[in-house]
Amino acid sequence: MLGRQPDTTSMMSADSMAAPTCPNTSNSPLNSPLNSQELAARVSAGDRAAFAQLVQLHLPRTVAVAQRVLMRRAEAEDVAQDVFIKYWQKPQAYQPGKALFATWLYRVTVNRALDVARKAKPLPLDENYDQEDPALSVIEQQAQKQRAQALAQAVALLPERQRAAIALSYQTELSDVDAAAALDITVKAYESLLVRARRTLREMMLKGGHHDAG
Amino acid sequence: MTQDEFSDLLDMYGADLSRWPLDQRGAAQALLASKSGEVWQIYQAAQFIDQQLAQPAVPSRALLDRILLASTEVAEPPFNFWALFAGWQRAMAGGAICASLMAGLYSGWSTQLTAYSTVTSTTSSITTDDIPGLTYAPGEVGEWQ
Repeated sequence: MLGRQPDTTSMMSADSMAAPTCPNTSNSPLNSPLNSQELAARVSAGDRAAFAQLVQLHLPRTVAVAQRVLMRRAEAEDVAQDVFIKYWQKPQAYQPGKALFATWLYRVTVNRALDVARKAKPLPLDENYDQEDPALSVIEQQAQKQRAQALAQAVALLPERQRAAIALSYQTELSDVDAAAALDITVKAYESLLVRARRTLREMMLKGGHHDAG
Repeated sequence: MTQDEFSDLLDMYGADLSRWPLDQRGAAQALLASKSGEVWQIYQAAQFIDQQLAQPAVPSRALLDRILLASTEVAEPPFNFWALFAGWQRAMAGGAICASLMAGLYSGWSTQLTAYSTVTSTTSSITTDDIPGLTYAPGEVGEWQ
């Protein structure tokens, strides 16, 4: 298994996901007083406050996932808005017995982002696609920015499915099993997408001389 | 561990060695400790990729407001009682409701039975003599006078 072990208990406890791989866990849905499953049940009963809470919990990751696929912030935000509004209009689209809410949400997000990516004309990447580290000196920040841009360009060149796999792996807490389910592929196929994506990115970074982690 | 094996494992598990299989970590650390320039370049590139790809998105407050405002402009989803109960809770709620219905039915049925048996046992011990004016007239079958 790549990265994370499959979460076989995910259907037994709401929002029980495998260990996160990214550092942004402070806003994790796991810390919510009401978990996503309970909130989703309330949304289905027309509870607007539960909807607001659910949006607040999942918006950062939803935007991040869409942004990894689309590479543009504004479009990623539009996708996130579209996904949440459609869910509010038709909450029964999420069927609790079939998947965790997060798995379903990120699947819908990835699919929507892939749709948009296929229809969109290629546009230049965002100028500030990746954030700067304020702890670095000006020269280091400039170098870091160049490396980040090189990586963003390399990510943009990846096939859409590989970008989607990367988005789910790095931006959500889904286990490999859930991420594969979100993409409607086997775990092996998901792992293969990740390996190919990482290899391509690493080779492109090394080829361009952008290997220093700073 | 060769450099190629190290690269393959980096692609599989990422640059965080704590996520690698236990039996591979020692060899990977030994390879890094050898301070081979090329191995370090590969490792640093993988570290940078992991770090950049894991950067969280911080959506603006405006986006959250926009979504919540947009949700007020569309019709609320119709009230769905069963939606209050998800998964096993739904089964439990269904079971509880069925159980209460059954209990109610049984209770009503047994009350009727008790009432019926009380009435029959009482009436069976009453004779027509006990009721003034109520006499049975032979010849007029089935008629009470």
